[in-house]
Amino acid sequence: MKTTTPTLLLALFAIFNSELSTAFAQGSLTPPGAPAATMKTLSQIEPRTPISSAPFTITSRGSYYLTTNLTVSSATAININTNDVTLDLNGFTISSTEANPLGIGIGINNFPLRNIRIFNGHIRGSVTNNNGVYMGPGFATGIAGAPESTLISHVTVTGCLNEGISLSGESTTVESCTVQTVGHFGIWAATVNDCSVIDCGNDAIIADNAFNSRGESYAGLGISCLVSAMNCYGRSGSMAGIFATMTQNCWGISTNAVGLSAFTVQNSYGYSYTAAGLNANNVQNCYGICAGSDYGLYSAYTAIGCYGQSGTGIGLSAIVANNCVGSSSGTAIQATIGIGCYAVAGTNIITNKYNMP
Amino acid sequence: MKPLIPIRGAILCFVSILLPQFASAHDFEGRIAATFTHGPGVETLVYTFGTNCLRIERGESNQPYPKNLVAADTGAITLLFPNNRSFVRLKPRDPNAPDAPPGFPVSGATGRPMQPSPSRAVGPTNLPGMPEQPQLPAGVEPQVAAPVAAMPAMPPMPMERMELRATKDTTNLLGYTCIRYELSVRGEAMEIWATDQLPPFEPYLQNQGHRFGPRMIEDQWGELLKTKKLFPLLAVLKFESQPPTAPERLRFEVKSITREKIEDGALFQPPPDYHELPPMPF
Repeated sequence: MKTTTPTLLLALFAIFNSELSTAFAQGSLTPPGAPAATMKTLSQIEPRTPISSAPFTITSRGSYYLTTNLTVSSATAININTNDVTLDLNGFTISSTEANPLGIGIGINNFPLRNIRIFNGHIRGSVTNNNGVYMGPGFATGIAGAPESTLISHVTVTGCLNEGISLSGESTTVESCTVQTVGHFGIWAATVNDCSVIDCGNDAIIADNAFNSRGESYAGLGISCLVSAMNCYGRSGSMAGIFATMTQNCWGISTNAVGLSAFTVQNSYGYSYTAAGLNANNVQNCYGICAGSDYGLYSAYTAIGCYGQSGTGIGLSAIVANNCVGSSSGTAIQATIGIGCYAVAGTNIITNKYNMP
Repeated sequence: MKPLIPIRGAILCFVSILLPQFASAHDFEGRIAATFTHGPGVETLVYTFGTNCLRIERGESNQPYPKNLVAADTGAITLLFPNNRSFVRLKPRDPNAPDAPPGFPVSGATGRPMQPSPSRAVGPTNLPGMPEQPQLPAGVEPQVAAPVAAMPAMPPMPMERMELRATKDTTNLLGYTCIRYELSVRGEAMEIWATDQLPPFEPYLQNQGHRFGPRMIEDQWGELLKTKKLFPLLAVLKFESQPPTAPERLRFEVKSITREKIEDGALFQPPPDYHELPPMPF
């Protein structure tokens, strides 16, 4: 009994384990067919349409990409005339040598187009800023049109006579782009994220909402937002640094106008050399500084936890000033109701005082 | 007797030249030079009145400052931007449009549908509207619950109304009878000597007007004068709380008024080598 049981188990195992068994080793004797082709077609490898010369007009929806740098001597380099287009600049540069700039780097035509995406490249003209006068060859505008549902990202635009990126349609986003040396607006879009615009002849950034962006202009507004500016830096020579309905975590600075102006302002800083540093209806946790004789911080209603400083004007002015600090060689804080406020320098003119000297 | 008539006419004409108040404000043609002081900077403004148009420009030439062309009949403003040889035609404000409450921006052209129509009593005129409720998929019934309330209208914010108050004080400045007006808002007092013998005042625009954010007194005094068809010859804004010797916040002062026929019609047109750009929709 002891010798038969292992033998039976081994035989059973050999039957069910094909690796140990040679009883079923023969396969089909019919040879397989010819091997299938492994080569892919060009459209399978690169389903996008290459663009290797300009001017070029896109009339069919799809994906396009540049294969080289493009230069035009007049007119628009790339026209997009249809919906649902993705254009990859592929790291290349589109430039113009047009002496009297009228053309556009990339024109989005046939209003209102929608679902356009442009990314990853450069648009360049040779317009320069000569003491405030913008002149030279190049494009009139880098990217222009009035499309809907459009995204422009990772594009740089330099040296245009008018706008850098101008998208006047609804639901447009410009993201991670830079614009430098343009004679009119820098970026105009519904939403502007992570962008930087410097050296504009007019407003640097115009948006419904701007986030994490920087706009600098000598003659126009630094950042102008219909709704809100968050985490932004706006600077201007002759107009407001930041102009918005709401701002949060922003810095607005101006030489000859209000540094930062908005209905509601939080955690922000406004500075002006000559005018009010910060002008708002309601302000919280903010700094407003005027180096001259204007208001440091002017709030039409309430200021909470703020600091206002003026050279010879009024440091901080509000109807209700709550836990605020003012400083000026003239009036430190001017308020109807003051709660726990303090004058670093100057005198307070407060009608009703609570918890304060 | 016959020669007397032209002599009378000549005398009347001569007197009307010497005494500007004899001439109608709407007939004024010539130049007005003024200085505008805000902080340490002093700007020169030149108003050139043609037969049917006004040109406003900065006197300084250190920068390519914008110029304003204002059509007298429609009030339409064209901004010239020498910095890139462009111009923008702003839409004239609808005369039937309600006035915005004081302290809030005056709505411009409404090109974007997200902006609600302006309201007389309600605050900012350019806030975005409530987004539409998303549609439920077919077959899915809405849950029984309290109906979603519509977005409440923004309550009117009580603001101190800026009102130009005429006083009984009069004086003569540069040959024009001026009445003293007062404008006072929360610790700030503006004294304005203005006349109705010149065309209505037009504030100089550096750009396409005030858009968002609250407006301070210096943003509004010019519009108030324009509404009353007055032209200021002297305007001074000061803090009430500070002594009279304290620095002024703002001063506008007319330095000269010259009646002359403006022959150069090109002054009131965009130069031929300028290109037109569209205005912003707000």
